[in-house]
Amino acid sequence: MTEPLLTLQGISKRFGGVVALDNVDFDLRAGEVHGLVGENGAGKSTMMKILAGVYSDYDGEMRLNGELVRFSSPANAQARGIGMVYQELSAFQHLTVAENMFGRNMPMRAGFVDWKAMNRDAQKHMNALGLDIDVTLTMGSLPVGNQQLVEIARVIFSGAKSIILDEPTSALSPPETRRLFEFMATLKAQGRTMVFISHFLDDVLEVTDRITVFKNGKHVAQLVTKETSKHQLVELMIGGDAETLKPLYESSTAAHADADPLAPAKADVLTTDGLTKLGAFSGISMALKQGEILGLFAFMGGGQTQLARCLFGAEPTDSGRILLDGQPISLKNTTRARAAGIAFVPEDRRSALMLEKEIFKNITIAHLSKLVPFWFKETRELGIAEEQIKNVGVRPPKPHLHVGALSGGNQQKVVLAKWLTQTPRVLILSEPTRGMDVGAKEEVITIVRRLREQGVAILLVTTEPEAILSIADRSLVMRKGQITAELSGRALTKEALMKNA
Amino acid sequence: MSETRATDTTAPAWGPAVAWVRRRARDLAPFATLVVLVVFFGATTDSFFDLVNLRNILAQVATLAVVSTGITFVLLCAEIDLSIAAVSMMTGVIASILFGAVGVPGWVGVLAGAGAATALGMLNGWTTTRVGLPSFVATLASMQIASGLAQYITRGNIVYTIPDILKYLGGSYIGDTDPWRLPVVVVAGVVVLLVGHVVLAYTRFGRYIYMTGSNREAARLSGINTKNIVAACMAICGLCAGLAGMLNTGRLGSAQSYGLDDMLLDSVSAVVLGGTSLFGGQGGIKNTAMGLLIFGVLNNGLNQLQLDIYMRLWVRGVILLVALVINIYALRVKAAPAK
Repeated sequence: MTEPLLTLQGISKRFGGVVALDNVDFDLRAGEVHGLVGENGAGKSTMMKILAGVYSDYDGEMRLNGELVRFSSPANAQARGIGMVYQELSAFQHLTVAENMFGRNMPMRAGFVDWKAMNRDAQKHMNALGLDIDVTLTMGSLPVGNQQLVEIARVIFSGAKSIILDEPTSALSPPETRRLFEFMATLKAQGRTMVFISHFLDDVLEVTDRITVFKNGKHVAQLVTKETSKHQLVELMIGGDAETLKPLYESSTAAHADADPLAPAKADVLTTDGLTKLGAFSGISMALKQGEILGLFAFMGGGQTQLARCLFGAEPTDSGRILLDGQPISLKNTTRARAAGIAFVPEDRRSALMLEKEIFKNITIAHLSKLVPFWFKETRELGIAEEQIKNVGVRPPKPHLHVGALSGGNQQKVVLAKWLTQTPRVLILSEPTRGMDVGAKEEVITIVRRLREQGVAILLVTTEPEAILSIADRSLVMRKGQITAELSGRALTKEALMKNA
Repeated sequence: MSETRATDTTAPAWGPAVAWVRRRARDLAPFATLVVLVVFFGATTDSFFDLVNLRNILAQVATLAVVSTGITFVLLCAEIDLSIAAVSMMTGVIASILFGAVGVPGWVGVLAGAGAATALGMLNGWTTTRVGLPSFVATLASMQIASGLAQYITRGNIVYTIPDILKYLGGSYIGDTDPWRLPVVVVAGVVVLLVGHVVLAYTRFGRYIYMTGSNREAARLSGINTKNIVAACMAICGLCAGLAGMLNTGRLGSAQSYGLDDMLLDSVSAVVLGGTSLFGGQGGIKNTAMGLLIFGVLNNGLNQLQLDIYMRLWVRGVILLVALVINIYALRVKAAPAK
């Protein structure tokens, strides 16, 4: 056994009343690639931020080469050789690669920046890492994959011997991912240590030596990658959830039981045929039926968000067809989609609501042309809005209040209400319950179920398996822009969703 | 100040009343500014409240009202049109040259001018929404096109052949004895303001404008064709600028390719003084009317004061700045939770 480079023992961290990490152990050996997996909120990122010096107030102890340490800042951690590459790249897009690498420590000559020396040194460093990237290009001109590589190179350049990679592959295409793995192999050969945090279990199994599994802020397992299967990882990540998820499973299987036996086949409403948007998704063929809730599960960056937007005409596609009732339809803009009876609830409420405007105006806006004559009075509009406010249960039920004054859950109800003034044919929901408390979630789910009863074809796009398990009749799974599975009935389980994503 | 007064009088904290106060707050700050200015000039000058003087104030801002109506549409979309003054001059020149040198009937000249102005507005709309240039840049270019065309057509000369209809609209009076006659141009300005108000406040198109300006992405994701809405507003703004330019030639009795340089800044400051946001979605014609009155009273009052002529401009600038600061401050108070 090699002596660990770094050990963390009994680490606990709370945010207000929420326990993010509960007495967790973790160790890192010199020269290994260590995978860290767990569901959203399992505490992976919190742990790594403690390691990288972002959080310095925690319980427990950290030892670096046997010496007790407590990093006071990221700079402090970096000075001791630990650097982190964040999921959201934080590079300066308008500056060159070299400028990004040097940051504030640019080489100076006679009071001026010594560009020649800077570019030369940066290029030398790049080449030493086996990277063929021109350091005089601006960061923004590089593909995301290369930006990621530069970011890693930058962290190494500023002295990191151990590098923490937070979801490095989530935004990368398959060839870019390959390139990253090759780069990681180079770094490993140079004796560097890496922590690899990822949702993509295949990636984790491919590049790591050992894997640590977190669940609900606790350490549940440490495994040697060679002896581990994907199935085993998923079990460990969600294990024990079977009990808490039981009601959700039951409600969803009940829905299947209703739908399945001998019922007449429901008509396809919205179908896609080889729909492709370069850099986002490709070859998507699917059929959404009347009166069903079709789940679309993927991890962040799986291309599902763009697919949802394309189905509402909010973004152009590159090839493939969208058909409504079997007829090809050109969704050139959102107005076309709305006219065709497609409704869309985007993942970000700020891009769905005019927060400073009144509730009633936000509700009537989508179908204004059908609700009021060209010259209108607000009284008629108010009546329609009040009906919807009651329908979806907006609280407080005051149509003149501006939407920004409502809680998140109630704002989301307004977004739904906007599309219910005319019963939609197709309803595309992107993350409809994310970040909501349990009560509001239940209410939104109830509304969506009611719409299914009315025959609306509903596409539920989400990164939360629970949302799919609780209401979807069947589900597609997307990974890196492609559909990897269709699950229904007993095969629709959290495990299956996560394994295929 | 006006803010607290308003809150006191409608204290009961039930929804509609709170919402009403919140809507009004934007209107109350400019109103307070206007009252302060009127009281000040009334007290410090002898002639301010003369009927003729009050009428003059209206006449002085009448053409500005027409162009400001257009700029209000554009600002509500969170865009800007820097070409309005140049389009005004170009339109006046086109109508007058067609009437004089080419010899078409006056109304044809006017229609052609209006058409040219609208076309330039549509060009602005196209470059802004379809090409994706910022309107600040796109209209900077069309400003030069319009101004250059005016110079090219006139070769720098002043044109005195103004169609009769413009002379009537711009330069004549309803009634004939002095305190009780009303300049037709005031009526024209009020009519344009009224039409603008009705469109913005009582039509679906108007609602789409407010919603687009308030959050363009949300409007788009509600199925609104925001590009068309913005482009239409830019076209309307061009038309209004053209109408203002033609009224102006009627008022002056001549058309020329220079001399309206203040119009752009004057109309934007009048609209913003009235409380319409530069960032879209907030304000309206009522605010613009208020801003025009403030602007007119300020200009007129400073003239009455018989200030040193070289002092007038910077004093006006300082007062404008103070009024704008008060406006912004009042809006911040409004933006804070009113619970």
